[in-house]
Amino acid sequence: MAKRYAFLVDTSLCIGCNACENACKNFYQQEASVHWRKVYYMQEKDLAQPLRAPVSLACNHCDDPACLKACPASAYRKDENGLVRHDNDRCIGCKLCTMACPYNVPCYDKELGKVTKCEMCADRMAQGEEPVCVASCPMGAIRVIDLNDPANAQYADNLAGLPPRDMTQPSTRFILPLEQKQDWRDK
Amino acid sequence: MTDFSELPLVFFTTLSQMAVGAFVVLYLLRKNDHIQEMAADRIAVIVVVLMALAMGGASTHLGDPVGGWRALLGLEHSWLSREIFVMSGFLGLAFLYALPQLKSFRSLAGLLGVVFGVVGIVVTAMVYTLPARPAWNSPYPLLFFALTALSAGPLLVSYIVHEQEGTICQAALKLTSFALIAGFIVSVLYASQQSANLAMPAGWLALRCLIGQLLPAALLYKLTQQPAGRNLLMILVLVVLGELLGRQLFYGSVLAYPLFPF
Amino acid sequence: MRFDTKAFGRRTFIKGGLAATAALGLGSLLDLGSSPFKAKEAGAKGDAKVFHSACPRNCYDTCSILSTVEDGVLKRVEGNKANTYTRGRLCAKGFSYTRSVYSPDRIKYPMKQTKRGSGKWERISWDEAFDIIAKKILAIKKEYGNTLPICLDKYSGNFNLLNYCVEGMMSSIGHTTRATGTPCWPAGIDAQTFDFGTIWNNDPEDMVNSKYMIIWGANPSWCSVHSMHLVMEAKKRGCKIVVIDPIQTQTASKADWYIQIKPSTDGALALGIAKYLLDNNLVDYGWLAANAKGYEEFFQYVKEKITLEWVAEKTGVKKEIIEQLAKEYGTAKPASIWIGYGMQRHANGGQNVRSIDALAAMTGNIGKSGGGAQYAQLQTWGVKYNVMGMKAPAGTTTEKDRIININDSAQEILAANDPPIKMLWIACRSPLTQAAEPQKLRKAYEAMDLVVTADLFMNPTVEMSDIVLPVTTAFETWGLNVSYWHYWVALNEPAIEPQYEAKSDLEIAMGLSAKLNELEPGSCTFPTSGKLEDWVAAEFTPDFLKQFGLSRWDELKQGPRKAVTGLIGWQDGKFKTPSGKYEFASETAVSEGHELLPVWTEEMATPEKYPLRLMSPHWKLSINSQFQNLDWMMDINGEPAVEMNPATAEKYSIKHGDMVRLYNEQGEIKLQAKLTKGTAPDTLVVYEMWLKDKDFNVNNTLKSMPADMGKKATGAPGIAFHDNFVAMAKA
Repeated sequence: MAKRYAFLVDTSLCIGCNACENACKNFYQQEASVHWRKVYYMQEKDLAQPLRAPVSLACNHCDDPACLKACPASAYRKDENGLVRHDNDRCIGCKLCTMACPYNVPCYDKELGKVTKCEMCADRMAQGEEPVCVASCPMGAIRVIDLNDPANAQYADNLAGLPPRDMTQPSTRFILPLEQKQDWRDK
Repeated sequence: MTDFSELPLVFFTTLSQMAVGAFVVLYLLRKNDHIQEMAADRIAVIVVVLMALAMGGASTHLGDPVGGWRALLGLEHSWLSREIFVMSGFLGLAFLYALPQLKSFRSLAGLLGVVFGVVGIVVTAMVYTLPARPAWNSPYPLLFFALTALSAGPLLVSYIVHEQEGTICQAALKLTSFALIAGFIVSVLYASQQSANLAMPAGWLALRCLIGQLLPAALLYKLTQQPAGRNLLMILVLVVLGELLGRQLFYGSVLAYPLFPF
Repeated sequence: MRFDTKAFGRRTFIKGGLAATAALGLGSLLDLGSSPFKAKEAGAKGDAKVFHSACPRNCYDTCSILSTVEDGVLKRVEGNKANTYTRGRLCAKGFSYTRSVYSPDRIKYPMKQTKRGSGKWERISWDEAFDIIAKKILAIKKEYGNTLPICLDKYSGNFNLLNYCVEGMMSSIGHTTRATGTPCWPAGIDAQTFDFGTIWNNDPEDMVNSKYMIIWGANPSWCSVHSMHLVMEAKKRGCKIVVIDPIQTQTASKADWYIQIKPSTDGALALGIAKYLLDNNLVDYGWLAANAKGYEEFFQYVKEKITLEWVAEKTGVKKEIIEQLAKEYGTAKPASIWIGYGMQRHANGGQNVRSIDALAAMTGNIGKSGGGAQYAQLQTWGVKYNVMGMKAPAGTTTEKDRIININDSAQEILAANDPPIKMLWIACRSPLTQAAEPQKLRKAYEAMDLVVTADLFMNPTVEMSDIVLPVTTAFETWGLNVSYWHYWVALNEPAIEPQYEAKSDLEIAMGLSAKLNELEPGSCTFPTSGKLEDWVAAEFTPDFLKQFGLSRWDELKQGPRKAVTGLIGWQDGKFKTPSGKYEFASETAVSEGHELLPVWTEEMATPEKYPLRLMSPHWKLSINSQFQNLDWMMDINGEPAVEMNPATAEKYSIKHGDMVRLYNEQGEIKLQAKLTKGTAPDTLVVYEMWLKDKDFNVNNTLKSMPADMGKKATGAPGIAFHDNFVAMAKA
């Protein structure tokens, strides 16, 4: 069976260090405002207990991609292996996908006059290598998994604070934040 | 409000909707012989110019304007693609309508133009009904766009008719007045109902309603008591400014679906 | 004058005594040349070259880097997998290096400023810069008869070992005034010096062997990401991770158990644990009998003076929590404690570290794999320090350098009058963003005849200088780098040409010496020429080579190497104290004016007028004044913020995102409020950083309050960064 790739983000391991974000920028040498990957923090109100619970997000390679549906130039395509690809040559820089994506994933690159986004390092993947963020995370908190493998059904398919899944059917999976014993100062 | 990156779209949507409104009113008035041919010619030319400006302006919004034609590659799935297709059609039909050589086809071009224009406004609204922009994912874009057409369009026609023929087109002005009051109500409703999904600057919104809706509506009311053509130009300018400001607020205040909101 | 490695005598800056231990099968782990990013990658051309670099920042991790260069341009950096500590990964800062190298904000040429702080800079040539500086040095020497009016303020901005040439440059003109000490970690160093004889942590890669780990006042998630991986690896292998911290840090958020403690009361908690260990017979008397001195006296103190009720009252940690923690720590073998630098930045910080050390000793967790009272190490720093071994020029009349306290430099510069300080050389440091009492420091600078700063970026310190000299990044020069935590050494090869007119500090030293000798032959003993690579070669001693299993120094051109001995601190039981044992009772401490035993020392009281404690720990996107100014970082974090407990915010009617003012009699800062339950109601947290184009300095309210210890090992006491008290109001 063909593989259907997706990112797995282990929020129990992620330390929000932003290494993934800058590793991506370093490898692709991007402008500051271009984020193919970005670190967010879950909010205390959404957690069972106070924690710094960062979440590293890149393109969710959705099954129903809002970017693809919005794009007038058909610059997006959804590959069989799960990747949502963006063809720079087709892109006309209308930016509608940047409005349509609920995850703020497509980024308009002013220098380029085009939108760019995470393609899960498709070229590296084709050569059997990990995406740069995966290879660079000091904690090993980002992985690529195959959603066609039933073993991967165990992972959470959404997090509190993210849009409802039915908006775009994102493929990213999560390991939820850890729970710990906490003893706060009593005075 | 301070983000002016969508300014080309502000002009495109406002001007194109005004042009569609004017064209529809033109078609109806002309059909019933309420206006002379000369005025009709003038209005048709202005509609074409407005549409051309609107579409030309919109292309400056693109990072790759030369590749703008590729915007028609997504007709199958993209509302933006469809918008560009339909609005181009409207421009073409308005152009045909305006051509003196094709006067015999005017009624057909006019009817088709009305259909394309009205569909164009609906399709433009569909472009913005994005789940990722909750405030837009509502009937409001359609309401705003239709009300722009219904307020500025008839007003433009009335002004030209008055300039050309010296008459006041009461029916058209009534439509404008109605659209201005409705527009005011819709603007206030939008800001309050969608407040969680907007960063709406109250002062700018008040200014927009005042100069673009309430003041022109009051002046129009006064006009029905004692007609005067000069006022019509001022009212038109106020309404157009108001619509542009309103559209800037439409783009500038909308918030993305909040990720991990505090 | 020619460069000659034999001409300079050895100067033992830090005595790198090497204990012979090799418990772990190390040295065979080198996987040279492998890289996570292969050269065939997207965008890589055929002529891509990869160079060995080393991150020279003041950081635990001191990463081994591979730099990809195409057509003379640094295209990207990546971690070197040959280093088993960093495992081919870097941090957000390391990955931003291309932005530092090619930042449009870099200082490109030597410049002089018409008036300090005016911003009116004029480009000058290197020759002119050296001429101005050299003439000033000679004029001072003539006027005062010595060079003591010249002061060096250098610290940790570049830990390339060659950068000790700045000290060498100063020595080579005569005796000067030196800002001495360290703002970072001195109280803890002294504490461990009293207890053990020096600092010597186990190899952090050994942490995975722990069964129980207390991370006490350290935040490796932000300050040592590669160690955090090891912490989580230990956890995966069944080690229980406990974090004790006043702030629920990112590290605390990853622990099995987070215990919040009242700031500066860590010693009391340690004594409470000691009490429980004693009462419940969880003490390793066998180890103590063989290895420790003075434990009987200490135990007597604990038994007589310490009650768990008192500890609970003092620390805010409930009695049953203390009991559980002590029981678990006392029974798990081996158990380790990581003592952070944060917890010693208090008026009683050194004494608190001694109390924690005592726990490791009582339980026999010293000298063992998986154990330790982990603080830092200087074992791998035993190079020759050839670059700083310069003799004063002939005819020097003074005897030695004049020492001023780096942590009270504003006051001490202003107070110096015999002779006064007239010229300041600042290198590898930005005092006006990092030091206490910046307001007073500004005044001190204003009183100077000449302020010279060598730096990369136009920061507030450069803005108050007369002359700025552009320095190279690590990618543009040679270097040699070791860590104060892990046991790797890495060679730093130049990957690209120096940008614009930048020079390394070593080239600056040689250039200045050439100018001085031209103006007045013999006035400077620093070599005036020499290949940088030869300077690196001259740093190697036979012991150093042996420690890393090297037969020749240039084997490092193949990649970084790890020490093959000394990976478990104190495994041989030969402590460097006067008694040769672990000293619960330290006469050395007494002779330095401290307590004999690790007894409780009161924390600083909260002043009534300034009821909130403002802690200023390190930030994940910067290391002191570096990195946060870069565009990639400014994009992630552009605004300073203060973390506060929602209860505190409510009391002051502050909402999330409001601007607030934190102030005391010295100064104020304005910044955004960020509400979180992760900090206690009496504690505010503002991360220290220098942001580009922002008028923000967390030290505006910080006084030069000394920590209790630091003088013995580093020459000056530390600074109580975290005893900074403020009032708050809505801005």
